[in-house]
Amino acid sequence: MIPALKIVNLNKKFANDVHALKAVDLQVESGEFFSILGPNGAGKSTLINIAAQVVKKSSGLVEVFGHSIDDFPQQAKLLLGYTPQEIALDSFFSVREVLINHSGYYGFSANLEWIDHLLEQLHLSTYANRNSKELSGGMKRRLTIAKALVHRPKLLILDEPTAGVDVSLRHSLWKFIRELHQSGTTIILTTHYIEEAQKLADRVAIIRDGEIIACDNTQQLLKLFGSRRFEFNLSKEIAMPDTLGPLTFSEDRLMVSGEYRSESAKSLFGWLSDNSHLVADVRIESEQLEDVFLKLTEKS
Amino acid sequence: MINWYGCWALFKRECRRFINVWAQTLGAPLISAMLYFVVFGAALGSRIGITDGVPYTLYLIPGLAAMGMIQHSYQNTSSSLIQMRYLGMLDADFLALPLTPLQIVLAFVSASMVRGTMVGSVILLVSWCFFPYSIAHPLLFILSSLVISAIFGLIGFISGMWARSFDNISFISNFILTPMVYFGGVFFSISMLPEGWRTVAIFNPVFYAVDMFRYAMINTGQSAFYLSSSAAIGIMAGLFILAVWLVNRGWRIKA
Repeated sequence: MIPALKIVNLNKKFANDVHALKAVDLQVESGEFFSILGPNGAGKSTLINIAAQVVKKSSGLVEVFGHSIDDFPQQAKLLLGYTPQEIALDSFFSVREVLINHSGYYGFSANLEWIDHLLEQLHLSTYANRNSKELSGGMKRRLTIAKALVHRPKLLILDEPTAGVDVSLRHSLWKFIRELHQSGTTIILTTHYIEEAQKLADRVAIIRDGEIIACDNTQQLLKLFGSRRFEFNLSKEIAMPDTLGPLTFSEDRLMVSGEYRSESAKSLFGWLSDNSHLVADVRIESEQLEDVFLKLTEKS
Repeated sequence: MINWYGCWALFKRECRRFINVWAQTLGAPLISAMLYFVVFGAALGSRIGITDGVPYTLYLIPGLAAMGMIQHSYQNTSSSLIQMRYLGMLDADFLALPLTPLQIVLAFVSASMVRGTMVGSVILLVSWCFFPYSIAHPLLFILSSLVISAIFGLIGFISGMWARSFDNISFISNFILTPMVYFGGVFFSISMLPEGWRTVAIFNPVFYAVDMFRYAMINTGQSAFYLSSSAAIGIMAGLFILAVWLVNRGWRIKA
């Protein structure tokens, strides 16, 4: 199957000599929900802006459903919907007119049914005849997403679509994006909300300083880079031998924690059992994608 | 597969943008033209008398119409692009569109030609009410209107790509375009200028555009029609090629 997005050895050096992307290789399969995570300035937006052809690449290959952006730029653009990070709307027109215009740019002369469907799905029907500049921030964000979907793209690129929106709107957008993905649209999402990537994406790429440092499905990333920790609450203070290994104690020494499945954990469990010490409470916590992200993006 | 409907949609968007604010884009030039006509035509016309073989008031009409076309076709493209930059629309509504550079330039410049010729027509209509006239060469008149609007629509397009702010657009309009218009034979024959300035006027593209238009309209001109029309068409073609090349390179709009 032809990948939705194929990137080979992509480099981007800006005029100010900033090397934003360094030999990036990436493949997003058709039908996938893919997320790109990275700290500010890591190169996430540059990467997707090159795919959307709004930023020039310095070298490398970029293909959208097999169409190289060098040889078939218009065909690649027709297959792709793009929402930039910054909200930008045509303030001369109403909400519906903005969508009609955008639909026309993609060659659709009669698309009103789909436009009305998008307006309804994104809770914008009531505001369809209002000028786009009269909308609230959240509504503008939804209209930006509707614009990107107006030509029914096979690949949708969302650059931080939920940045700055309230919790309830974020959840309603997640629902909408998830349904869109279930209907067959390939989605690439960049986000600062790691929870968002963990909830929605099949696979996650973590980018740091213009390089992809990890790319796998969420569970695999957690398995590879995450860890689980245990926490025992003891009924009384117990003097433990140093030979048990690296453990962390609370100030009152009534709580001991450490890495689950480590040698020190095994020794501790054995020692507590051998000496018949009572444990009042046990907690085992898995690391979240956020911890993996922090671990990987932390500079040595 | 060439997306011509997309090009048409962009053209329509550009036309509707100026029609939506018609009072500013069509009403204002109408008032300015009336004022120019009353002040220059009625007050000075009788004193100046005959210019290049025709009454000064009649001589003035094509100049005023050409000036309106020049200013408004320039403003249409330049203001549209700078507004897009200002509103952050250049990414999703310009660079990401599935249109070729040629289609983008064609859509923007065609819309500026519509606005230019609409403004020119309004000015001519008002002028006719004050001073009835007939068109000497109707076909050449239409063609030269389109060429003038295209030249300055293209200059506006390139300026809009270059400009980083509204100030940049005003700079070109005030310090380059306006002097070119005033020394381009809009209000007077360049034969009335001192020798040195006459030489400067010969290198002014506005002179050829206005002279071509004046000949097509009232059958009088200071240079041979073939010379003025060839110069104007050559300038238009050169600017068009330059604009397409610049969009293709993403000059000043694509990082």
